[in-house]
Amino acid sequence: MTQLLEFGGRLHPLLLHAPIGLFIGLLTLELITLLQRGHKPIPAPKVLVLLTAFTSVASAAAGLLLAREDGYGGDGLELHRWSGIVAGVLSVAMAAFRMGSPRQVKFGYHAFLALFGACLIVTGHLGGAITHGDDFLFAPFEPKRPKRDTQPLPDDTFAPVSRILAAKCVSCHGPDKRKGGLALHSIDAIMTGGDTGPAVVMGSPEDSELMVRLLLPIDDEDHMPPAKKQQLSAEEIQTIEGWIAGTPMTFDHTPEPEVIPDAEPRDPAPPPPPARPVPDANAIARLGALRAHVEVVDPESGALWIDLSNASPAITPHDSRELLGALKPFIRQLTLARTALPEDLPSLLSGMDSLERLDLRQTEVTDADLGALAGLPKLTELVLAQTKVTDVAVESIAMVPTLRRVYLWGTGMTPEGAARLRAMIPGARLDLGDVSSAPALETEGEIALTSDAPAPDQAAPKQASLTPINPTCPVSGSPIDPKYSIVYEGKVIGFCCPNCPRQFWAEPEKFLTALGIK
Amino acid sequence: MDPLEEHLLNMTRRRFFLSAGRSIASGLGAAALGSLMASSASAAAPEAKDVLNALPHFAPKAKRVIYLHMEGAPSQLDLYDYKPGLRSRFNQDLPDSIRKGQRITTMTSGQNRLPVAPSIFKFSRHANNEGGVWLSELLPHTASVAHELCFIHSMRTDAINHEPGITFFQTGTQQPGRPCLGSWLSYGLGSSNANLPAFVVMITQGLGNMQALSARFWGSGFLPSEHQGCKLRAGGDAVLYLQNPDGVSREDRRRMLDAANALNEQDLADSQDSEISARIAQAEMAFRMQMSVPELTDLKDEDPATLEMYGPDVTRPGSFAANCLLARRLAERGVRFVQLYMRGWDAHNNLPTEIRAQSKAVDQPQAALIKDLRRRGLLDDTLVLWAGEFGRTVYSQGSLSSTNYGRDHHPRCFSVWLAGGGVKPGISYGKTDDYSYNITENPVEVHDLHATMLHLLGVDHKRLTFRHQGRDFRLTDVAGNIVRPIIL
Repeated sequence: MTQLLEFGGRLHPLLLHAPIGLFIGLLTLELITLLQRGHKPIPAPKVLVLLTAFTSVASAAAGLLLAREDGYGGDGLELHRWSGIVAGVLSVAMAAFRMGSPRQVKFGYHAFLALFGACLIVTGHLGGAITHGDDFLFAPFEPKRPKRDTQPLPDDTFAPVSRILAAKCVSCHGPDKRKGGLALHSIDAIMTGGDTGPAVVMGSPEDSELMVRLLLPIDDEDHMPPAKKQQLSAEEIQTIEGWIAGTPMTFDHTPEPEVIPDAEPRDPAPPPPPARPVPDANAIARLGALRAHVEVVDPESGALWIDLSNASPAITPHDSRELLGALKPFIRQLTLARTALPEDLPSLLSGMDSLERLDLRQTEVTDADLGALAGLPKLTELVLAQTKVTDVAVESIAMVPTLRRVYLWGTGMTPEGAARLRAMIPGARLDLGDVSSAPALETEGEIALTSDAPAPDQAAPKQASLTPINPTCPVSGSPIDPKYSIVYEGKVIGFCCPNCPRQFWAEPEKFLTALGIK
Repeated sequence: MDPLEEHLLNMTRRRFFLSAGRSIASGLGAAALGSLMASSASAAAPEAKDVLNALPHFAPKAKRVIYLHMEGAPSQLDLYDYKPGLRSRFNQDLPDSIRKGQRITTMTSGQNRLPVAPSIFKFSRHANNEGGVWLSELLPHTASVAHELCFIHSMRTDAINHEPGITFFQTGTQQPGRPCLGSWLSYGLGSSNANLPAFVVMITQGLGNMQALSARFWGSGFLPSEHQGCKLRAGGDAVLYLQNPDGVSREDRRRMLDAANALNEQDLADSQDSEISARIAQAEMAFRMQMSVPELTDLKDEDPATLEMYGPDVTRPGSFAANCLLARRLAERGVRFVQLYMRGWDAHNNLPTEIRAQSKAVDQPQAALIKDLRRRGLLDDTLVLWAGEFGRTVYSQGSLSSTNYGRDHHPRCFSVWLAGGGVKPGISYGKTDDYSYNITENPVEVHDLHATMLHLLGVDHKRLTFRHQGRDFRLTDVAGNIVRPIIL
């Protein structure tokens, strides 16, 4: 049955010619009558008028059936549908008046003929626009559109896309037929777009209506191609997407490059800041492979914290020198604790202009090595705990005026050396691991627990015995736990658990009777 | 896998790297994160992370956390919240103007009265960076490091009982199923030591009334499973089966692991199931822990003075002292989040006896931990938190006498302290009323504490999210204000 209805719908393009032709016939007859003045006006034969009305209604009906098919929709169709219905109604009115009295014919028939004709023109124009596009009629007079700036890649990447579109899309979206006002047979046509705007935004697949529709679920009404038509394969979709994105797809599943330093931001963000030096990603990756820890501690400037204390034993001093060297200007915090330091620590540290924290805890750093500290302009924190530095290092450490904290617990430095250092860099706090046991500033005296006034609902606070009067729980019968006692009417009653009191409170009399108290 | 599906997944990952490429950290963020991912031993195929931007979001003050959780809810009135005025209100009824009709738990709702129980412990005022802080006689060693500690007396929570209370404190909601703080940090920041897990948990059995501890308090919720806490055992071996059996060498173990990984990775490529990559990651981590954990737990490189500082219990495995020492060692070795549980604070009855024993067990070790971190230069970038899940009531549960009382749960106010990691040392924040019942100044919600902690670690709590069940979850749920006055 549905097939029959569909077939009926498809008769619409055929049937619609009948009322148009017949109307032209009726109009001609009226014109001839007008031209032959003086003669009695001869209205068109009733048969013809009836036939016009009949074919008009049939055509409208077929059109309604056709509209139900997939692939038709939009505002254009709505207007065409309604004006077609109106045309049908007007044609029936016209025929009715033709059948009536001569007076009715004179006025009614002619009036409705005119109205019907106007409606027919509107309907016909709209229908043509659906099939051929809005600008079909006057297209020859349109000025040539200028080429767009965002030209897609040269033809060799478009060619496979063009083939796909030609095979599966152009039958409805092509030069002959523009569903939704869209044609896809050439780059220009694609760029021009359709009723709802451009089909493709070059460089941005997720903003391209074409891609969106291809990727919609097949039972979505906006999915393209229509569900009943031949679908695109996954690889074809990817080809189109790759063409739009500007990265032609290959199908060997090579992983994408992890680092894309020059990618443009997608949304309208402010232009990127002026180019600043970026740390060597390669060096970072190699440090990571050696299980050294590299962490960004300031996303704004790319400042790094590098921690070699848990790196793989395979890391050689040469490696650390080379890799740290590559990252020198960015290192803000460096932890070398518990590692075997490379010889010539001064050369490793020189040039680390951003270094603020240096952790050399539990290393074999010597007093001589610390001469390198002078070359660190921003050093604020120095950890030398559990090293063998001695008082000799005091001068070297004092050469760093920016120091705020120095950790010297477990070193060979003496209290005198530390005092000297303190005097030389008064702005810094030295931590020697002193365990301060300063006495309290004040302590409470003996505690006396008193009460200003008696509790409101008791004459005097009685320190009565808190021993329960019952050995077994009135609710469960189990032995009581004195912890769970309540006071009821001056008697202390014990329970076995925290839940029984609730049951007791619900019906105190019953349980008291059971206890034999009441 | 369907090439289209795989391609869509790739598109998400590519967009992640591109969006991180907005600023100077473009290639860097990706590279740093790449090395982070490599060092956190995740599988070869990176998952499509839902992290909005490369972490940290801004310069962190702390790099790691040690969280001392006092399970059972220690009594703030007997430890931190000094209320001398209560001494003259012994056995008085709690005024209704203070209680304001708050619901009482079923444990005390059966009581006839709510008698005020002042603390029978003496408090002393110890020097800090303000006018001094009052601490109870139960914590003499902790008092000696009062100048490093930031006390918050005005914490509050919604939960009234232990399971939901601890769940709330760990995961940000009372309902189970969400990842805990440690898992969020492991997920967001990773580990700085590839040979140890990013999140380690140690439990000490208590001396007072104990409540149950569920493993989901250190669970990863909906985050990939490799972010769950790794619990070290209290007994002989910190981790079971660390040693290879006789006849199996480390190379053999490596070859076995490689073969298993090859199969797992095939499976991963087919299904993109993040649990498989978690499994691969855990197996790799276990392999590395065979070397790193014995080195961690072998105390022969500790000098006796240090051990003495932690107190006599330090050589007893599983004690709080031993665990504090291990916590320091873990911090030295770059473990991101160390969590210690001390059970047994739930003193509904016989509080004075129980709290004496509990305090004795924790006081010296926790002070030693602070001192040890400080002198090794680790305290400034290690954030230490000491907290229970809620507080205890001012009224006595059960019988009240001049030497004995109990306290029930009290969520409306409790005390915690923080140290190190960008927190202002030596201050007190927030105040409660004379009964330590309501907060009068600067209330701090649990979400606020979480937001602040994440902030100190360089993480914007609103941007560390994970898409699950169609929405972006975060630790602080839909709340959380950073408590700026306590930040350095």
